[in-house]
Amino acid sequence: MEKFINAAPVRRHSVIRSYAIRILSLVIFVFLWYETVDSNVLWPLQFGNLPSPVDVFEAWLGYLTQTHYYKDIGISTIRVTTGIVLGLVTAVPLGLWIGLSRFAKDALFTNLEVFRPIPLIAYLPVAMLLFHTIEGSIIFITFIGAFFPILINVKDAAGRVPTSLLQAASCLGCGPIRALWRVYLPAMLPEISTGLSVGVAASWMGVITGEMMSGQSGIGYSTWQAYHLLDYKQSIIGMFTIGALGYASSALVRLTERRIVRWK
Amino acid sequence: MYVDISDVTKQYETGAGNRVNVLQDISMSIGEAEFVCILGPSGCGKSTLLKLIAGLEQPSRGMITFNNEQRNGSSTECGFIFQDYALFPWLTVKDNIRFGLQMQKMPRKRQQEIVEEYLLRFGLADAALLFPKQLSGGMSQRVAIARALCLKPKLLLMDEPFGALDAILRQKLQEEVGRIWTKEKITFILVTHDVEEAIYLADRIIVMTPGPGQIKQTVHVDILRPRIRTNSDFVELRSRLMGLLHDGEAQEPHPQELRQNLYTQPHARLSNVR
Repeated sequence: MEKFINAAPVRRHSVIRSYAIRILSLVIFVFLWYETVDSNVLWPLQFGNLPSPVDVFEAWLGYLTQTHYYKDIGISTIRVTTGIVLGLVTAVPLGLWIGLSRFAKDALFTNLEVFRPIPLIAYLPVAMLLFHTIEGSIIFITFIGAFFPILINVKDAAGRVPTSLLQAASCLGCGPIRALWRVYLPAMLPEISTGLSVGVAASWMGVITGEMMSGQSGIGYSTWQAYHLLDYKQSIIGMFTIGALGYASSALVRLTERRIVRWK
Repeated sequence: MYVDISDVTKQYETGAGNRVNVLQDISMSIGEAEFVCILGPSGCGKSTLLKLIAGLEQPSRGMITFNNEQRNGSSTECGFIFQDYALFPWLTVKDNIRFGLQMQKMPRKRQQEIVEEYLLRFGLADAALLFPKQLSGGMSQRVAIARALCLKPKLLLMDEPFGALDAILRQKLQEEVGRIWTKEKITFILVTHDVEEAIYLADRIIVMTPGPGQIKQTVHVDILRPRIRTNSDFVELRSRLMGLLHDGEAQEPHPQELRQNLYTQPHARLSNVR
């Protein structure tokens, strides 16, 4: 009985403890970073080459007031968004078709399966050849990143829509074409959302890669360019910025999912 | 609406290229405002028969006509209540009921009116904005029935709608279905394996046997409604039906059974038959 009486305080205590440890671990990480740079540690890894966290933080605070920082973020974000939208618009109908039609599966899926395992970065040479502009090739990469995860999820989900739902719709006067929009799509929303989460992460990877390799603007480009210009602080800032952007995108997808898929 | 089923056979192809007859030589007629129960053990093809009537599947041989007309595919004249109710999980109760009306391109205002009428009629007014996952079994059934009935079908088909429910709820919902039928005055066709359910609700019970599914006998239920499960005429008919389904086993009660009959037997279940 005593255990239960003390349960609430114990739980609160362990939550505080948990957060304390988390903050402490971050502090220790920054401290180690500072120390290894300050003491010019070069073995086993060349920590001494890194800029100090203090410098990085200072520079970052500086960037927050400069428009070019936000411009870079904006450009990359627009590229990713374009790629994702294109990915959704093509992968959902295509996935539906491949999932439902034997013919489509045989005709299209084989080809797609050949391309699916190719890492995004490997598309770059072909993308550069195919597209008129560098911008086009970068957006193509982000599109590919989003396309395949969404396609696979939709294809699988199409076959899993319960037959009774389709039959019920039929008995309520819903024709097979209308059912695609009225039954299949809503029923597949959770899976589309899962595909989207993965696709968003892949798209970000694609855009950064594209920008680093051949771009002339964007946060990936700046991060890479900074390295060449020996501005290592900016490289690190860029790195963390990209991470934050990726995290924010995933959070956004999760938020939309929770809003739209309230019913699950 | 008169439904005529003549010499209907339904075949399925199994993986090995063999054909199996799920239903064979089914012939029957169903009249206006009748309550018909199709009674049989699992696997006798009764659900398939229901789907054939609904137009969700086509017979391999034979014909089903409605008022002497053939029909292609499903239509809104046959309302269908599925075993799992098949409510659209992404729609609220209100929107579920509205679904069929939207398919008919009815003006919005009229849709609203009809939905409100049916929400009230089935006691769902408070649940209008809930999602199917938040509903109890009984409410789900009511939503499914409201959704089908608001299209004013000539026929309501129910595929073992009380399957997954506990005994107390089953009885309550059976009574509800009986009431709804009395009020709506359209033909109900209910598929079940529960003998008592069939006797309680039906005007006519069509007894089916499996392998392949065939009609064994049609039994008329002449007991006056409301029917009481413990009355002698009810119990007699139940024994008779159980006998029909036991088919071929000794008619004399086993001493074990004699002892059991001293107490009120709960729901007779056909799962005991096979």
